[in-house]
Amino acid sequence: MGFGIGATLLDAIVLAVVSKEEEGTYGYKITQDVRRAIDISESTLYPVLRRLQKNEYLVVYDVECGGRNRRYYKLTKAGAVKLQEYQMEWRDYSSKISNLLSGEEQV
Amino acid sequence: MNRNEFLRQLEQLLCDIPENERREAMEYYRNYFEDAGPEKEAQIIEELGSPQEVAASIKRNLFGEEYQDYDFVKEEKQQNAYGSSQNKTTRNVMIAVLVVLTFPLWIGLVAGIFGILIGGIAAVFSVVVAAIAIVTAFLIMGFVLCGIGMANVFTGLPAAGLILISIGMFMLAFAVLGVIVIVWTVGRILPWTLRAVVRLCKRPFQKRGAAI
Repeated sequence: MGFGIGATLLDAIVLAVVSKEEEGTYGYKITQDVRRAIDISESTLYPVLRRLQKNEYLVVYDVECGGRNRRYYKLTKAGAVKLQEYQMEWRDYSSKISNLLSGEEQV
Repeated sequence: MNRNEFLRQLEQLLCDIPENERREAMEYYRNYFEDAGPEKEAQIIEELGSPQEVAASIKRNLFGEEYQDYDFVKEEKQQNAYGSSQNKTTRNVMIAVLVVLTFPLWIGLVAGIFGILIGGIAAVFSVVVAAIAIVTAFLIMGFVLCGIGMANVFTGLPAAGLILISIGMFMLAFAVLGVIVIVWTVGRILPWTLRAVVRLCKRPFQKRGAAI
């Protein structure tokens, strides 16, 4: 992917990916899901998850799974609000960029 | 590098961040390896890059964006420099200990070399002294014989007197030759020998200086 992905967009993407799972999801799965859309290195996501957790957009909890604890991430209320905000901003931003890049005359 | 090695190195690299941050990060990556399964272990390690890179990404998030990638390169270099200087120190200490422990062995050798050196100097000195004594003796004998010869010539024994004078002259000639040889030896060969000895003694120290 030739376009750089800033920290804000990465936050939005991770929030969107986590929001898809009602019961929460875990680090490895989040990474796989994000990597289906964009090419990021495996070490990129921990700092993002940690940042979102500190901003209280995500909450972590441990679930016992096969004799060990697995750390799950889930959207908080604030996280859901933030995601909505990102979604609105993205619609606006992406449509403008699309208009510019599509090469068609604007009406 | 396997998973445990990777995690161990990462934990070490994170030793300068707060305890809870380190625990969180270690928990995440331990979980990550477990969820991926052992068959993906090598692939993940390769994609994560080095523990240094992962540590840098975590610290960048904690300390702000100014904590850039070059920091981990710098850190790596520092570690290398630290490691090699530590090695050098260890080596020097080991050498010192070895030198002290083998003291009974090498003290004999050193004493022996010192003795030979002193003996050599004494030998050269004694030869010079002996040569001076012989030359002096020839000089005195020469003059004495010349004197007796002269006396004989004037007291009626000219033949014997002339023979004594000629022997005396011979001895004086020898003595003069001896003086020349001694002066030349002491003036030329002795300084050269001394210089050679001094150079020989200096050599091990110079070599050592070059090695350090």
